[in-house]
Amino acid sequence: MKFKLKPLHILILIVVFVLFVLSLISIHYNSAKTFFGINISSVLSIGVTIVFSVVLVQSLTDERKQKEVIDNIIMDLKLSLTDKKYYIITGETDKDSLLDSIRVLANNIDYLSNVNSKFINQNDVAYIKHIFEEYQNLVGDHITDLSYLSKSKKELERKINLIDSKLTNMRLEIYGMKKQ
Amino acid sequence: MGNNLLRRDIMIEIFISKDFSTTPGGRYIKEGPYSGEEFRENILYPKYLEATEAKKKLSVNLDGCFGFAPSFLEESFGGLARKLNNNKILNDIELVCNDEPGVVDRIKNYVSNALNKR
Repeated sequence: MKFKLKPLHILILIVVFVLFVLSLISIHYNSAKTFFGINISSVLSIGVTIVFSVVLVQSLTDERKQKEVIDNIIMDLKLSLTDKKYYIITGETDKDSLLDSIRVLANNIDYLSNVNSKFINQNDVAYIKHIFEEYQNLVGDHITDLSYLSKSKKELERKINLIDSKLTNMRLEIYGMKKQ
Repeated sequence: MGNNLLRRDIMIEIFISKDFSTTPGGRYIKEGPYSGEEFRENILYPKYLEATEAKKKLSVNLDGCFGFAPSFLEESFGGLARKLNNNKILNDIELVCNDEPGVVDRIKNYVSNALNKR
């Protein structure tokens, strides 16, 4: 039968450990008073350093997590754009499904435009929105004429590729990997 | 429930997916069915007049559709702004789009641009 460590067991272990350490200290205190002696300014310095370190590490961790969230949105977009359905449109294409998929792209692009400009360049997002609007116009204006859209593969693909390239550029900038 | 009854009393509502189409088209009638021009002339403009005469707000719900071409939105709402030439148009219309929240801001921009270009 496997022994599962419960919170109560962990608490007991911690209490035993602390008592053990305290007993060691009390046994050896008299022979090592200078080791255990410390003044108040040192205590304060150590305390401030610990608090400052914890806050700084936490803030850096938070920022990294925020960047990861943004990167995930960008990666979702890039992954979606690999689907050829966005530029190879035939008479067999399900219009409703295509339009629904385009809306998912639109929502993700809107999320990026609402992100703090500390993390991403909003000019890049504006560029993507502009190209995507052109794409939406081309598809939306001719959605009832799939034969027209089937002949527009090159233009649709060009717009998708432009958006994809800009997204790659944004990823590099998020993680500070672009040459200044 | 009570609040919804109150809202219906002070609003005239358009649900694009039910009153017009779930797949709105392009800009002009000549381009194909369910265009922005068709929506504006047959539904949006008459309902707007009805709402203002009754001193009610017009609510346009864009949920339930399979996306909107920017040209459809511009011709519908920007076109309405150009037709009415009225700065208060955005105060008179409530836009609802939970499926694609960014659409509401885009429509407001189209209306503002249409009014600025007068």
